[in-house]
Amino acid sequence: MTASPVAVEPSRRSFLVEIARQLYLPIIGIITALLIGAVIILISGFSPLDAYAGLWAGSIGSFEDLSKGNFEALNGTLATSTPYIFTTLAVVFGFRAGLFNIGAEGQIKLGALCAAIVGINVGGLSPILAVPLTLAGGCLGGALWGALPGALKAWSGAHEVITTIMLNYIAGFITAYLVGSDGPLKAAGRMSQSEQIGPNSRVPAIFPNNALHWGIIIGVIMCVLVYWVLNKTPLGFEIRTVGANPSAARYAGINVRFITVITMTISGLLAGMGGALEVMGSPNFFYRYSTQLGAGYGFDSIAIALVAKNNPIAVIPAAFLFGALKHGASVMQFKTANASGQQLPVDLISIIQALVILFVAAEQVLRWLYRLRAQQGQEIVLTRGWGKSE
Amino acid sequence: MGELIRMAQTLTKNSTTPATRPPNLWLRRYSIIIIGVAVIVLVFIWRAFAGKQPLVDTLSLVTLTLTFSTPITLGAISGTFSERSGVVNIGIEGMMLSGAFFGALAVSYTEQIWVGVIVAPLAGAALALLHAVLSIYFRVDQIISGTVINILSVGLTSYLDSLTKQRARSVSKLPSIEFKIDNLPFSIGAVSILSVLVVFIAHYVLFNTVWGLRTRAVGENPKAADTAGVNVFKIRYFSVLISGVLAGLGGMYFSLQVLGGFTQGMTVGTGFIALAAMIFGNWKPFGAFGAALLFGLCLASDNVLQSWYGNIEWLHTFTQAIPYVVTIVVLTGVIGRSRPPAAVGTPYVKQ
Repeated sequence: MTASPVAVEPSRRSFLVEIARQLYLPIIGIITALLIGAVIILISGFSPLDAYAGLWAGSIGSFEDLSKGNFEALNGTLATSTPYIFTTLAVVFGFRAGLFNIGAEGQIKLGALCAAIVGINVGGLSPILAVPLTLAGGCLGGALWGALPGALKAWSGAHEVITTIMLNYIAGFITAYLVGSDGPLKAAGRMSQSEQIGPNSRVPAIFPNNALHWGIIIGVIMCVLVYWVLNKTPLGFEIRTVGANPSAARYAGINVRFITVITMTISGLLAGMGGALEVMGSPNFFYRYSTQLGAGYGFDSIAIALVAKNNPIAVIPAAFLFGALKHGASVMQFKTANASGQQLPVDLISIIQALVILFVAAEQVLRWLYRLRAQQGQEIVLTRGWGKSE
Repeated sequence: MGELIRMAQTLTKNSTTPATRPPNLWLRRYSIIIIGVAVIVLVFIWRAFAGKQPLVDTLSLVTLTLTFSTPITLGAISGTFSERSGVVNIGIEGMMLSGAFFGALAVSYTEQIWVGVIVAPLAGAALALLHAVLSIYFRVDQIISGTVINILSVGLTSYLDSLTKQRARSVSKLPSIEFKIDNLPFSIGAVSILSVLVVFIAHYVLFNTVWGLRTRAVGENPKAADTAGVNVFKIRYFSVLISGVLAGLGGMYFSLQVLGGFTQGMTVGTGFIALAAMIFGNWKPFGAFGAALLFGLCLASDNVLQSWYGNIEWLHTFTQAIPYVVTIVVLTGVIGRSRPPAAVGTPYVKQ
């Protein structure tokens, strides 16, 4: 089970062969999940072709739209993918230290809330100060919410799977109270949301009047940065060593507790940054903290991280895939309306997501399905149950 | 058989006389009962001083505690069975949600409540079978397998809920014992009574039958059990299926006992709280029951305080969060550390 702490280095194969080798199983897995999804659509009495054509049109754009230069669907998908990039990086960072962080939902919520609080108050400053301050507020909120389960794990062994899920619920209650009726941060009106952050705290859209904002560029930069930290720095080496074998790490003189806390803190920071950018840039929330923000991100991010095979760079396409599924779902829904006016429920996407995780994370099933041989390589330890002693 | 008896001796020896006996063992063992009794007495005194009806108020707290603890009890016993055989079951939440949905759906189609009572545990068992095949046959990481179960269950129930035009949202309820004291209605549901029975049965099965001994042996040391002639895979499949059945019953409690219908995501993390109750209860049915009652008390406090003081928003937020906070506190082991079955989470490879 325990892999050597050294990262899996491609031997003497060429770079492209290595990429193909890494990619073919996830791609087969995604195709299989979509095929099973098609069967489910068919059994439900809808046309899988209509459904997937709608999904394509809603996420990438129909060929007609694209040829006319209408990239609205694609921009929407990219905007939807942006927070996923951050929350998934959070999960990937945790996985590398053998920590299963399902808490991205709570962390993105706290990050977004703190960013909103800072953004409302520093809106008068010049953008050069206001934007970094708001972003830092979000990072701090997320980092604190990540450090908590990290510290609990380090000093008491409380398993992070349960503590992070519990903290998701607690974050939900706290934020719902703060912007709910009678809440101290609630804006006037019926909606459960905060006031708008100041105009100087906002991140502008890349194209005018468009959902896509500069947050996605920051996300891509963070992916590269996380890759660098994990693979090229002493801290990254220690994190990966703890992830591969905590007892060996301790024996080698690594402070496992410190690494656990710092990993979860950075993990929470990344998710919090994503939350801050949603408040600062996404027109979906009108530059406010809303209780809608971040719902379901905990488990979605786990799925994306597993599809990305824990590789920070691969997070970009994987987040795009899930962003496309999420953004395209609504068009899929109305394209499938049948004679009686019934539509294919959007929740099909959740089923497809679960199937994708199943086939990508549990390669054994896929290999059994297609009679594929096991690859030479090391098994990555993603998490530990409470039974195994460290 | 001789091997098995020797194994049993080591098992019992380990569980009753650890090498270093903690000084607060007595306190640890009865801590839940002490906390519970203390809370009830305090509430009684408090309500008496407040000039209200102390007996009725205390009684309503006790019945509500039992009511709220029911799904946690069933979930915790569900986890106990699975983990005693060495399989981590993080998918209890998903199995509960499916039990809740399919039970209600079956009732809505057949108009027969007993069909729901059969379908709900079967739905839990179906997901449990998936978990068992993934984690026992394919040796997939058990936490990932459980996560798949949870996401799949959320998707499947919401999808079918929309597809069936929300017909499972309003169905008839299971019977409950109703009585009145001082014109205040009290009720204890049939599933609550069933859950208490399940605790006793689970304890008997796990600690007083050969099957239970084998289950525990497989969870502690599958290789030794295998050498002694126990079919590790059979025991594990069966235990995970039992776990699914119990989780399905726990889910049914939400839809067929409390609400009389299904709403999306109605189990709100009870499966995870149940896992914490199982850990706090030291992987023993009575321990799990005690822990579940403690969580039930936390959940009941929200209702009780609201009925006494009206709907105060910040108080409501606070009391709502209590069970989740207590779950975390319990997991830190501040109140006492528990010892998981030695082989839990490790797939068994027959040599």
